[in-house]
Formats: sequence, C-alpha cells, structure tokens
Amino acid sequence: MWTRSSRSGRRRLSLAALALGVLCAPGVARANPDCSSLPSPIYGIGGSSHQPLIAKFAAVLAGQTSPVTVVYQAPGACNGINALLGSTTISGTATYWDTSAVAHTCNLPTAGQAVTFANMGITATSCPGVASLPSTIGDFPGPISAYELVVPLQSSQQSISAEGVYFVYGFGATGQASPWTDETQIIKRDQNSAATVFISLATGVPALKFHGVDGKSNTGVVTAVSTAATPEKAIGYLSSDVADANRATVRPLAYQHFGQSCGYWADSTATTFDKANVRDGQYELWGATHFFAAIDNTGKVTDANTKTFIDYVTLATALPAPGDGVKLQIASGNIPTCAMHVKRTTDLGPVQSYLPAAPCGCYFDKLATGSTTCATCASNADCPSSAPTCRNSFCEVR
Amino acid sequence: MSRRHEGMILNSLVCAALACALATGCGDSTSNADAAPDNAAPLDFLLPVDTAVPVDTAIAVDAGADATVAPDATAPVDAAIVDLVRGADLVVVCTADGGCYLCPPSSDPQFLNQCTAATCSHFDNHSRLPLLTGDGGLPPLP
Repeated sequence: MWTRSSRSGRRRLSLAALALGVLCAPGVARANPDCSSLPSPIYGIGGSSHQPLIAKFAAVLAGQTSPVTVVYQAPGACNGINALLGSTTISGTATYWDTSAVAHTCNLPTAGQAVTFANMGITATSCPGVASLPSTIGDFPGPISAYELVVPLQSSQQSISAEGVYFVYGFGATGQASPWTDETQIIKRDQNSAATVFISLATGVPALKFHGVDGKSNTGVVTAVSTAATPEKAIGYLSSDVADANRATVRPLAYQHFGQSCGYWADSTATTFDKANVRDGQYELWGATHFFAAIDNTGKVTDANTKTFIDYVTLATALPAPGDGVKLQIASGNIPTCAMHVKRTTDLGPVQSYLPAAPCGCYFDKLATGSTTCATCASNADCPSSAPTCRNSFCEVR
Repeated sequence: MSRRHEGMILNSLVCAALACALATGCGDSTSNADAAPDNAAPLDFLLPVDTAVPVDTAIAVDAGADATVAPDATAPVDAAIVDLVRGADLVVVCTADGGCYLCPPSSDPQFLNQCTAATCSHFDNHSRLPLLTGDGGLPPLP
C-alpha cells in the first residue's frame, strides 16, 4: 500500500526525472549556458555568410591564455550595422565557438545585451537606413568574398547575365527569363542581406522589389534551391564561401555582367576553387568583408577584446605563433587581400590593378586548390628573378 | 621587310602583350604597389597602323550563342581589331577578334573582358530575354 509520504516521494522523483529530461532535451534553451557566464565575452551581430570566418578566429581567442569568447547573432547584414549604430541590444540566443571552432548556443540576457562589433559583406552605406558612418564607428575591411547565383546540381543551366537577373528578380514570373519563371522556385533574401544588396547594386533591381521566396539565410537558400520541386526552374544566390561549402548540392552559375562578352564563374572553371576571376577582376560580384566597431579619436577600437578580435580577423595583427591568419581566412572560404591582383574601395566600385606589399597568391592557390604552379622555396636564394621573394614556402613576385 | 617577316614580328609582339596581360601583376611591375586606375597602355603594345595582325595564341572568348568555352579553345585573331590610341604612326592593338582585351586592363570593361585562361559560358541575352527593348535595353520594372 502506498502511504501518503511514499506517493509524495515518488511524485517528487517523477517530477525531478521529468525536469531532468526536459533540461537535457536537445534544443531546449535552458540547456544553454548564459552568454555572460562564458569567459570574457564580446558580442557581435550581422550577416550569416561570414560565420565560418568568425568561427576560426573566435577559436583562436577562445584558446588564449586569457580566453575571450566571441558571441554572435546573425539576423542579417544590415540589421547588424543598424543595431550597432542605433545601440540596439540583442536578446534570445546567440552562437559562440569553442577552441575547435565548433559552434554552440548561449542565452542572452532577457533585458538585452549591447554589441561591440558588427560584420557584413558590404559597406555600411549600402544598407537601407545608413546614410553615412559616424566618426565614432570604424570600418575595418577584412578578406574578400564573392556572391554567386546558384542552381540545383540537376539543373542544365550554366550561366546568367545581369540582364537575365534583372528579369528573374525584378519581374519574377512575368520576366519570361526561361527557365526561371516560377516564383516559388526563385529564391531570394530580404533587403537586409548583403547578398541581396550586392545583386541589387549590380543589376539595378531595388532590394525591396525582389521577386521570389525569401530563403531567410544562406543555409535556407541552399536548402530551398537544392530541394526545389523542379530543379531546372530553381535559382538563388549565396556568398561564395557558402556556395563552395555546398557544392555537393548547389552549383554556381557563370555571371555575365553588363557589357561583358561572356559569363565567368568566380573560379577559373565551374569546378575549381581558385577564385581566379575574382582575384583578377574578370568576375564582377565581389567585395570585402567589413567589421565595424566603436573607435576613439585616434581610430582605435575602444573595447580591448573586440580590438584584438578585429585586428586578428583583418590581419592587422599577426596571430600568436604558430597561428596563421592568412591560412584561416583561406580555410573559411575567403580570399586574403594579399592574394588579390585587383582592388576596389566601394561596393562594386571601379576595379584597379593591385600588387600587395606581401603577396600570397601562390600560398592561396596551394591551400584553396591543393596545387600551385609556383616554385617552392626555403629562402629567396631558391627563387627565380621573376618571382624573387620566398613567402610561405613559395616564390612570389614581391 | 617582307610581309611575312613583318607579320611574324607583329605576331610576337601581340603574343608578348597577351602573355603580359595573362601574367600576374604584369601591369604592376613598377615599385608602385597600387597602379593608377587609368594607366596609359605601355609602349610595348604599340604597333604600326593598318597592319593585319595574325595571332595564333589560344584564348577563351565569347562563343556567340550560349556555349561554354574551354580555356584552350582556339580563337585565332586573324584580324585583330585595332582600337584605342591612334598616334601618328602607331596604334594600340588590344582587342582580339572574339572581343577579349589583350592589354593590361585599366578600366572595368577591360578587366571584365580581359583575355585569360578562364573558361566562360556565354548567356545570349537576345535569344533568351524576350522583354529586352528593341535596342537591347532594359524595360522599367513593373
């Protein structure tokens, strides 16, 4: 016979077990640590496309003797800069990374948390609502990335022109740009996405007038395009690092800009990863990643840990040995500026020839593609006069 | 100088120009790291006026209708288009038959159309976009 006390005890045990089960269930917010409980957290906000880049450098900071935790929320590029400029706090959950760059989720304060940096793939003034950047906010350009139109692997399409994109995204089904005439399979992002802003700037279709279904995030676009009901009719756009990471399910199209006689991939062919056409200016849709943070009157980032993070990720400061910031930028699918042969100072602005002070093109080729035609070296003495400087074990032109 | 020899020399010059254009940082070989955006074409590219320039170097160019062009597709430039600077006796030969730009690029159209080893895939606006205006322009958005 059950006594009152034994029934009560069993009920308490059952409730405890239930509570434990709830707490241990995956995805339950209570299982996440509070972000504020992590070692020296810094908080950022912005686009989703450069999280692999942020992750690799966040891992470096997490592994320092005095660890710093990078906590990041990705509601969209322009939401990030607007939050920083408007001192808007973030709440809900955010992502942070451990020393192996593995992502985890933490809980932000219910009352909101101030951010100390923003990140996105475009300049601030390309965002709606940002007329200019105040003198109290610094813009720190990072590595280069490209934007690519993508189709499902099963699609037969190989290229699209700027004019074609204009009809697909500016008109939707009525654009008659076959085969992309089914708006349920034309995948877009909203006007706060850096990718949308880039495609808008390139083609003249206002970001608010894009036709199609909102993929919500880079990952969402990959899923929507790759699982489209009629693959031939599906199209979307992504940052190249995300597109590269998902070549098993989506395929980039060659892009033919206004006045260009042929369409080119970001890479020298449809299947390589050399970003040759971005690096030499033959591919139009590319730009720098930007980090934004509050600065003092000398231009220095005011928050010390945020400064360390931005200095590392933009290569302004070398990583502590044996760290290799260039390698991390390449590994995250981006192009270090030292591997570029061209530069531009505004989003889709004029392209200029560029010879970096310390080129790393050979190193980039080796890491990004697995091979390079450059001579290997141990010192300058091993290099020919045409490429006399030994850098990262390869003979570079300077 | 015979026409044949003249052609061979010109061929070499244009091939050198192409090789230069393909070389990394060729236009930046000076000590100035950031070349000015509107550099004048170097004198290496100046050729006599009204000279047919045979160029047998393989380049990837526009293939007309939708087509993917492999890097080694042969695009003979039997009649290189003479454009740009026309001086007293010399002109700059920068544009190959298929439309790609042979000289070191210094403007956006030149960068976009430079002759490289990259594969390309032409998108034929005329045949694929029926709503283009008669002159190939874009109609206003709805």
